[in-house]
Amino acid sequence: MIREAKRVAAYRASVAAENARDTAIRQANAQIAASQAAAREADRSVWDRAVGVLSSVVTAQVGDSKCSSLAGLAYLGFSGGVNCQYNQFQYYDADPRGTLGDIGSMLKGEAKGAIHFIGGLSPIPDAINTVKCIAGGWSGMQECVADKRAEITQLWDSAKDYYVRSQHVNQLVLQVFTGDASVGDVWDEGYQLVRDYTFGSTLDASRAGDYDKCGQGASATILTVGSIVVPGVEGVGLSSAGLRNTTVATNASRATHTVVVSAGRATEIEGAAGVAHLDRVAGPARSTDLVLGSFRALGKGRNAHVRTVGSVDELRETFNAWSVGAELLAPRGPKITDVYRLPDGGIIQWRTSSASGGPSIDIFPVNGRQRTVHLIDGVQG
Amino acid sequence: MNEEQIIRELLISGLTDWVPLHDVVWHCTEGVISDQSRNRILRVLHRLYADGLVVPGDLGETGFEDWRTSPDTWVERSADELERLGWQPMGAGFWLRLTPAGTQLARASEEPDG
Repeated sequence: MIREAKRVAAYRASVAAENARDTAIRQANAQIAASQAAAREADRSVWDRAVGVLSSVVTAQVGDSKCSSLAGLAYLGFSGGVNCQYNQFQYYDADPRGTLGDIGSMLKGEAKGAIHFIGGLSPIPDAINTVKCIAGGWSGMQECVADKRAEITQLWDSAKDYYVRSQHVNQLVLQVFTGDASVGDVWDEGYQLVRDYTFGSTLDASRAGDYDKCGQGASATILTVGSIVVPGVEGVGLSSAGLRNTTVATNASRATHTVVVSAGRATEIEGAAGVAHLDRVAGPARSTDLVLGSFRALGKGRNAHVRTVGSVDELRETFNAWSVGAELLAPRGPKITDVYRLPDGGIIQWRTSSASGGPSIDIFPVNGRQRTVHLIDGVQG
Repeated sequence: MNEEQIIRELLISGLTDWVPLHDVVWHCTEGVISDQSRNRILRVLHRLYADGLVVPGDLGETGFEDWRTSPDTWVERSADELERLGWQPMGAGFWLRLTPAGTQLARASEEPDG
């Protein structure tokens, strides 16, 4: 009996030891898995995280529009591949407008409140070609068809993984269409946020009042440049990755866009979660030289010191862009209602009447004659 | 620019829109405010007024509102306003509109042989 008891005890001890060993192994495996998950999480690119944040923006802001979930648009937008780190000629070489035109067709009629975002890629020829092919697969989509989303997602995932792995993703663009014009119209006019940068410059140089070149000679003026605030995550968020909230107005008065652009190569976003807050924020004031640079890009008037625009709305958008961040002065009578002083002492003012008819913008440099922006002939103020 | 050229430039500008005091000052001083350039401003204004080429005025409720005072007082009033603005109006102060005579001369000045 004693011998049997010892044998049973030994057996139980061995089972217990084995169980303990199994537990230890399971715990070790769990730790390894957790560690690997943490490592994967740590390795997630800014693109992954930003996509997560911006997807929530898409879902939250698209609201009751026809496409109640525009997750697919994020992927679609990716195909746009706007790369503002390179000048427009390289951009067009790499990404023909037809691709973006398809996007426009898809969104047409749903511009207001629609959101999509675009990931910029380093312009490596074969990489761009890959993206272009992906876009081609969606070109027939006229709306957010549910059965297409899986395809889009799959394409996106494969492309994203490749680009993230290859470290080619270098920026993120979110476009929020707040105007009434349909996106199709805008794209058809060649509206694309393609900065006329010199080679190698970055979006760090983005300033309100800058004058952006667009697809077919149309133009857009940046109204504001600011930071992106992620509520509840003070001090961190998209801004920490160099993202900027930029409000852009097309000079063709077609629509106003709020565009988030990144400045240079993205870095890791820590703690970015929730819904990005996309209210307008004022950017830094422009110098008179910058304003005059923008002035010179407008349509020529009768005299060298006169430029013209096509509508009162366009004139006002231009004025708003130039006056961002400037010091507001008192009106100069009933006809000169808005007066701003630029940091270098130059003055820009909104005049509600002129000898030529409609309102005008007056620019008074400290060292130079007045410049004026009028409506083009025949347009009533 | 000599004073003839300045007057011509101001008149041609006036074909497009009312001329701000800022432009009179800029063309006469090119940024250098001195006794000499101040006198030049007043001489140019005097010639514009005396020759009946422009009328000074303010931008009021009805648009351009001519100074209703006698033209004989315009130079002195202009000087007072310039003094008030430190001779750097930067868009403030009165404006000038062309008279028919001023418009005619400006158009003639625009033509290559004019």
